[in-house]
Amino acid sequence: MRGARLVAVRELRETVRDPNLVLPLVLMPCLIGVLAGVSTFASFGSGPSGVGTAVTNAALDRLPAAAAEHLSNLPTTNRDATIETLLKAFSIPLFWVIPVALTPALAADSFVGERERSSLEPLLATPIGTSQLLLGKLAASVIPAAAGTWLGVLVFWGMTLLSQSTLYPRLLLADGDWLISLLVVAPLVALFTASVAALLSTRVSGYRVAYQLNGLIVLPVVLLLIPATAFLFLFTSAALWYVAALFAGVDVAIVAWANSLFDREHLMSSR
Amino acid sequence: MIRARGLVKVFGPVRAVDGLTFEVEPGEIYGLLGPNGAGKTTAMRLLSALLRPTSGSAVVAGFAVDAEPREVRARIGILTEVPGLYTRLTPAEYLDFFAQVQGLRDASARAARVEEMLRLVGLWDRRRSVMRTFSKGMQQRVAIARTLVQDPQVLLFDEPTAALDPEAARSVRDYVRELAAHRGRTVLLCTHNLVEAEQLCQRLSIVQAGRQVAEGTPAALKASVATICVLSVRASSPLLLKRLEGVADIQAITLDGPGTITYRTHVPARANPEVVRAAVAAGADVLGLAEAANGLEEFYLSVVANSPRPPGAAG
Repeated sequence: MRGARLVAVRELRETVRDPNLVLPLVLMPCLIGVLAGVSTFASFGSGPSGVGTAVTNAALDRLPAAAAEHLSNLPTTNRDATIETLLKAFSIPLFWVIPVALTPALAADSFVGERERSSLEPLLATPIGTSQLLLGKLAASVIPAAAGTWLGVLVFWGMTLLSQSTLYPRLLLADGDWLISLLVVAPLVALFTASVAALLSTRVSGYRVAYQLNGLIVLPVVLLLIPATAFLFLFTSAALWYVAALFAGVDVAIVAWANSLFDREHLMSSR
Repeated sequence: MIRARGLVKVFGPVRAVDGLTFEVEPGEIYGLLGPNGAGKTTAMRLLSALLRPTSGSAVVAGFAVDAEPREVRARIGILTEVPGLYTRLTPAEYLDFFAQVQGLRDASARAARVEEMLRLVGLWDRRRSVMRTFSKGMQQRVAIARTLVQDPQVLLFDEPTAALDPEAARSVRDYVRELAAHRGRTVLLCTHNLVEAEQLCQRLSIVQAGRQVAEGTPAALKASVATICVLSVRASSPLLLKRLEGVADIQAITLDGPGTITYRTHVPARANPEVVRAAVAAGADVLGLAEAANGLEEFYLSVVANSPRPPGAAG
């Protein structure tokens, strides 16, 4: 793993010195954190009398009792607890958009950009293994994207504290579901995007093409948010683990595939 | 050492390298000369185990490039056509990274080596500057330092001095010479710079369309091409040219001015006295006869011009 660590550290060092990469890494999570916070502020900020609370209560009132019995994640007696569960189910997957949105630029720059700048050949002419190289580059894409997600959640947490809403835990990051999302799911989502970028890099020649193609990944992942939210709200608090397992499985498969294609001959020839 | 035997690399319909055979001994500087697309860069990539040969074999520093590529890469330093730096790093960070990737684990030894290399290429004072601000020549100097940082047994240089000013180019040439002569390093030099090739290389090959069209020492290669001679007379005349055309062993007689006639000969010692006699017999006042310097360029151009160059040849 030494080679992978060296590559990752070197790439991260370059990333933090590139304003074109750093600005989106900071601005985009802050924007999502603020927007999520503002909407929550507006809808639920005033507690039980807020618009969001009123609408949710009305929806829950119309829920057939027979259906409610089968929805295991709904607290049966405490309506505020139900709304808290709903807010969490909506908020947590929202932040998975951040790694999906941030990783394409980082990964395209790392994989295809390096080849375009002709800096890949000297590196490939060293004894470093291509698996190490791949892992290092994946780490260099995943780490900033995961850090961006954490930043976004921190901003969101700040907004919830500012709103003084009783519907959010005071220590958002002490909540188990938020922690699983931040420490497990978000990096796995970032790894998914980065490994797809690694796969694409063996097929495309230019940074712009790679970036555009990577961007297409955003859509299916965003579509995943809807079932994930419903699952988390209605059925089980273990939904996050299912999502994590899904991404972990897909990640392993794609990384293995990318690794099989990631050989020197291929990288030198695919132009 | 480097030993290539019938090395072939095919990309689709293109035979980028087509039967390259040569050996470079430790302490020797060997040149690969050829026009753009001749296959020099592909040959370098084969020898640095970046590409696998389609057929043939190559052994570098005692290891076969196809069977033990990792061992080969651990023992070579390659300078690619383009510096290919990580320009947001400083040269010290950059060289330290490559030294680590090449296996230099001891931090203090690495720091000393990085300092030595940066002093060699004259960039020690800029060691903390981000390389984005460097000129092309400075970037090339960093790339040269990268090639040398792990003190490799075999050095593969692709146009090492192309972007350097004359002073820096000379210091690099001197260092390359020193590496080969005093430290026994094996050096393969790909270049268009014939003067540099002649100065540095003990032997060289000329490649064209992936094929080796000539090999030998610079002196032997030069000797195989006709010498250009210049005859100066007070005034030339059609009669004089006609007489000279009758002289054995000379070709390509041209009138280059009112009193300047040039011709080529493989045997100047025999042909030149005959030329003077013929000129005098034609009534010309002979002012002088000189042999033009017979450079490697003459040989190179004659060989390359006479070799086929199919479209789509590799670099």
